[in-house]
Amino acid sequence: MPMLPPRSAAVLAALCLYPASVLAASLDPLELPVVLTATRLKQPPAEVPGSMTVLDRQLIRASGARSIPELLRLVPGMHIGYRRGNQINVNYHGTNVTEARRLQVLVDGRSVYRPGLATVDWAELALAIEDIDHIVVFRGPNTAAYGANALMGVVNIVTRLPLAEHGTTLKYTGGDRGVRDWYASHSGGSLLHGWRLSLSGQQDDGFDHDDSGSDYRDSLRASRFNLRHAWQLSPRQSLDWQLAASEASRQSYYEFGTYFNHRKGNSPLDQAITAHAPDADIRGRDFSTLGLWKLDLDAEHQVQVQAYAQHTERLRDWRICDSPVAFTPALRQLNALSQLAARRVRSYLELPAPALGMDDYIHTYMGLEGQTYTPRMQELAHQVRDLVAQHRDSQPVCGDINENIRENRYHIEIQDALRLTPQLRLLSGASYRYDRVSSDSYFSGTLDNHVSQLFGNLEYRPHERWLFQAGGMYEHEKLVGDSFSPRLAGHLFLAPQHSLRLVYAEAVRSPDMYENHANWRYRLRNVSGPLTGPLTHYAWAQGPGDLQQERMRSREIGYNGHFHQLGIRLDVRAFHERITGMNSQPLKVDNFQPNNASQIRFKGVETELDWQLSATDRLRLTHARIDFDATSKYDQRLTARHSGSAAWLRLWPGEISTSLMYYGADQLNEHRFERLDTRIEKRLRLGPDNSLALALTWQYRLDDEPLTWPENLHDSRSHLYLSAELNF
Amino acid sequence: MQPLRLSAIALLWLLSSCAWADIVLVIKPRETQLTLAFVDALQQRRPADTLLVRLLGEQPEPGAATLVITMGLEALEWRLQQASTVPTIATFITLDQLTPQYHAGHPPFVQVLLASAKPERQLILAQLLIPRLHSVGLLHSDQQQWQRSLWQTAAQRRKLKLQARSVADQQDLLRHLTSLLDDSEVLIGLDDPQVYNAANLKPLLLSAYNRNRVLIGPSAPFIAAGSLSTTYSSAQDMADSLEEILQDDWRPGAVRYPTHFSVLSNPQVARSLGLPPPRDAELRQRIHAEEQASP
Repeated sequence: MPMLPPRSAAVLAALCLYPASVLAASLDPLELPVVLTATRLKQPPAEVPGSMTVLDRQLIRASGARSIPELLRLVPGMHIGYRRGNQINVNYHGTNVTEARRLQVLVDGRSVYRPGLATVDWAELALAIEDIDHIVVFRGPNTAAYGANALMGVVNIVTRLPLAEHGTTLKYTGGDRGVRDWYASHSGGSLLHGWRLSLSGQQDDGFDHDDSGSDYRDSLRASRFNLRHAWQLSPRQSLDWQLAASEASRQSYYEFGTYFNHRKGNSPLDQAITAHAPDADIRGRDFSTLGLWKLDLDAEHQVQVQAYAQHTERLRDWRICDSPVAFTPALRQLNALSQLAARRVRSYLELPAPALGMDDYIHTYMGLEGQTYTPRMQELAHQVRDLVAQHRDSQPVCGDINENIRENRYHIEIQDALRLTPQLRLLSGASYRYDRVSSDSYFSGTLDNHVSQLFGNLEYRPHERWLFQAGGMYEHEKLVGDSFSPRLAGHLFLAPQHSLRLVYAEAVRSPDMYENHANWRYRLRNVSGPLTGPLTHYAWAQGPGDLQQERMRSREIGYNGHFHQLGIRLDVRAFHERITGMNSQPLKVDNFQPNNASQIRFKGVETELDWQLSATDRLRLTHARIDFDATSKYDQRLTARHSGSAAWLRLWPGEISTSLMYYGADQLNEHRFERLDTRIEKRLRLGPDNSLALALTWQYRLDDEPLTWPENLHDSRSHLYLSAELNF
Repeated sequence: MQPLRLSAIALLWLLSSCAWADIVLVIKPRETQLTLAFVDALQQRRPADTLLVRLLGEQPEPGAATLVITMGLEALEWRLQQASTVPTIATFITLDQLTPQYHAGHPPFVQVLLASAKPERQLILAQLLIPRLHSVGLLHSDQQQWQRSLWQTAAQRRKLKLQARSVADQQDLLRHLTSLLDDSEVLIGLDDPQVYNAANLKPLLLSAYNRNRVLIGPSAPFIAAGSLSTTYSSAQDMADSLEEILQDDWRPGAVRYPTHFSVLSNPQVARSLGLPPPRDAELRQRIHAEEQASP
């Protein structure tokens, strides 16, 4: 049988679905492409195998938020912690206050989760909030679809299609706390190929002062470039490609872990080292490019290939000073034998009036940790003690160090969506990823990783009341090994848009390159002071190389419903999640002991209600109640027992829109957080296609608490900023 | 109009309405599934008549026929070239094929039965599918500017706000579409091949659905391609509507919408956009009831 040309195949497929008389309703049947094929259409919320929150453009705009983490407070169960004004942690269900290793974050399908250091640098994202169309947050493990690291959830940020807008936008936002943001974009093209170029900048002063009243040096300045081109190659093929770049500078204090705490002493050496504290700002640069090609083979079969490459660099170099003892072979050797022994020598020598002899003291403490104080350690400890006395009045050793790190990622993925029968749909695919990290300080050179994935999801709808989904991902990582993450979900439809779901999922997180393979030490350049030996600081941390993946088992029962006539959408999720083999250790260069010893269990309920009361009013409520039980104290910091948000959006006559939003969490790192945000916007029509929008955002803290950490303080509870946006 | 000519048509019409069998000439441009289904439906409704079905290529003349039914624009144009004043009903004409002058200026022996969806029906359908609908968007080319008033009137009757954009140049289509999607809740398609064609449809629909705006219409073939829903008239609906015209008094030069219609929706699109699954038969009945309530 001769092969039909693809277009006829598409028409034939359509013919199978619709009665012939319908297609022939005009005398010259139009050969229309089947645009929204069954496989391409997005899954409705009531059919998703899990819980999903969508922050749409209206909500994003109404929030007035200047950063994505601020927006994510609208997601039930999402906990936001500020390390500094320019360093933010976003953790679903909280846990650790300084690390955010368990959430996958994608921008148009490109992972911005850093391979080397397992974190997301929200401040440096090459993305302007104005370019975002919507954010989809999948709450709960989703390794089955997105691979390791999608352990707690997935945040997928979707930027606006160039098709969705046209013309030029100029926007400036200014306000207190040093807010100076700008955005400029131009979109052009035709229906068949549209493009958008956007340039943007962001700047603020971060927190005003710390808990001692001193100025806080934590400002952020970032600029970004984005180009996106969406091209409809033919009715069945499209190509979408993007370029993004960002450059950011984050203020930071002098940070260096000297061997001794010289603040406690008052010798000339102590004074010289304490007095040396130059700032150590962090500069970041990100570049990425992404291409997505989609092909509709027919109405029931679609293939897509996505590839991206990205480069991330964080540069931080500054000059440090430490005691000459910290560079001696004796201390270096002792630290290499046992970091604990080296720390105990120090704490012994800092004791004002030791009751025990040094060896007894170290022996006791090492015994408590199950370690042995060997004769060789004893010999080295004595040498260190003698060196301390010898160098008491010496000059410090000073030199330039850096924490520069460069990461590259290349990823290609092919995905195939196929409707086998009206009841059966299969999504399958494969991907390959190459990660490479270079850092003299963290890795003593370069390290790479290869990750291959095979994934699939089968959707079976035997009856209009029932839907079953089974999915899984097999992954092979060069540095970690193999894993398989399955997921099973069943939906019972009470009515067409109302479903009860049961979901069971297993997920994994691979240890990142730093946890498992760090080779961390500081080499000095431009050295001054009494140093004769190698120009390397004593502190050295090495990853164990044999860390296992963290494993999660999650059970969920949920309801999702859409009351169409009333305009109400409701989602309720009750969950029980358990992560085992967790690495919760703080990783410091003088105390680097990652392990798989921790566990955590969560249970709770999350609710989300979105109610379009009328054409002009929208009400949205979220709440999360989480009970947890963590074996590591570090995982007990950022989880609020109750947290949530309430929003009221209204359109008034005269193109005025207002919003009122409340955010609350009973405790984030032991601090309450409650804030009320209001925004009012007035749009002025300057011509048929020109408008000016003026908006005032006012955020007001309802409590007196610092934000996450005691030193994160503002002068005033109130924060105001004004923006002007011109469209033409 | 010459009184003599008018009375001749009236006489012919009177004769044809009488009990004895007619000779009906059906002129079709080519043989398609639609023409087959339509002729079949006609035959079923007029078993006593003699149907002479001729292809346009055969250059058929009315001859002894008492009624001529043309299908499509080409057949109508052929018919208009002839001197005969035999009553003629032109079927399967879409609005974009009628210029404003044409719209008003048919000879008295012709009545037009449109294949285009009736604007008010499309708007009722949109109101049934999207509760609390307030504003609808209409995107058309400059050539179809005249159709706007039809939609304006229908929108007024349905108490809807009509936002319309006229596209002079294809290059401006995207700009107008984006501004229209900003200002309206539903996009209403109309018969306008400059805008609603195979090449534009995909980006147009993706753009609309990207903003959670559905497309209603313009016609049945667009539903399989991804439009949400439309009213349309099948071959049977057309035959029924034609039958009503024949029962009615002759209205010289009238352009009419079919009185009989069906509803067709794309359940997958509805599901994906979070709308309840449309029940076409029920929608049809409700539209019909609305039409009866406010004729």
